Amino acid sequence: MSNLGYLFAAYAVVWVGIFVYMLWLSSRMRSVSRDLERLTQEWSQHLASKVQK
Amino acid sequence: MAATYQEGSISVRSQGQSSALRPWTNILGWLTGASVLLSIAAIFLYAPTERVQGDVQRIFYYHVSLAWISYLAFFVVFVSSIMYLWKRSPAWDRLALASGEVGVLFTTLFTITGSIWAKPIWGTWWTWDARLTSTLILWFIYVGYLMVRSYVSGREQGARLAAVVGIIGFIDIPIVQLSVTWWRTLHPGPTIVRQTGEIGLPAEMLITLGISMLAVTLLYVYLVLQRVRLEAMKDTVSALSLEIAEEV
Repeated sequence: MSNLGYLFAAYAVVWVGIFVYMLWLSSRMRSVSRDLERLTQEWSQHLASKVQK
Repeated sequence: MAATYQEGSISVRSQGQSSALRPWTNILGWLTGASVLLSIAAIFLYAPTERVQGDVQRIFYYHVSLAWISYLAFFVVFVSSIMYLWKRSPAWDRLALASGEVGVLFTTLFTITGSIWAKPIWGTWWTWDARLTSTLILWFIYVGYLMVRSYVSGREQGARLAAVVGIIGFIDIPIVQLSVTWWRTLHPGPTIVRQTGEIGLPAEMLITLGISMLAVTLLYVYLVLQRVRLEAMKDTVSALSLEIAEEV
């Protein structure tokens, strides 16, 4: 590999690494947001049913 | 959206971050992106080619920046861990975890980029010299810091144990930094500011390094904020699940 090849490989590693981490973060946030939304709805329904009683 | 629950003892921010902070995080994201683009332009178009090493020397700008910001990340772990053990506030633990995770990511990246630089310059991907060995030990310490939480039952117990690791592990940072001064190493010694106090880089390289440091610093802050937000959301989900389970 020429020196330029090493140079591009190094920066590719940096940006792929950061990109993969950001993708993972984003995916986890979406998943946790969905859980939070579901639990919020459950809680609201529970409160509503308590008020009705 | 922030939700406050009247029943029970928890007050929940549904997105793990107050709505007042969100625009600032978005601005930070855009600034980070702009600074990264600027740093890439500076590295490939502005910085001069090093006389002896040639273009492969350009790896230096992100290699050094990632290394220094990793040290910052582990310093934040150190301080947050002390604060957590003192105050027992989950916010400090979240910050420590987030900073530790980003620190491990950056350490991995600067170790790999260093290895890629070493191959054409030293003729080898790796050598067991003091700087590289102490850096590898640093990586293992903080990977251990992240893993130790999974091996202990109970969130608080895991956080306490991790905090102890985070405080003790910080001892390796000055060892890594001073290894090139204390021992004879293949790794270059201080080049930016030489031991004589003289600046070792021409102005264009210093400026490029400065821009790269800024980009990596902003990236660190942005990633840590996002990670803290994720952890806060997870804590909210846990607390809410518990509250619902107790009520039902």
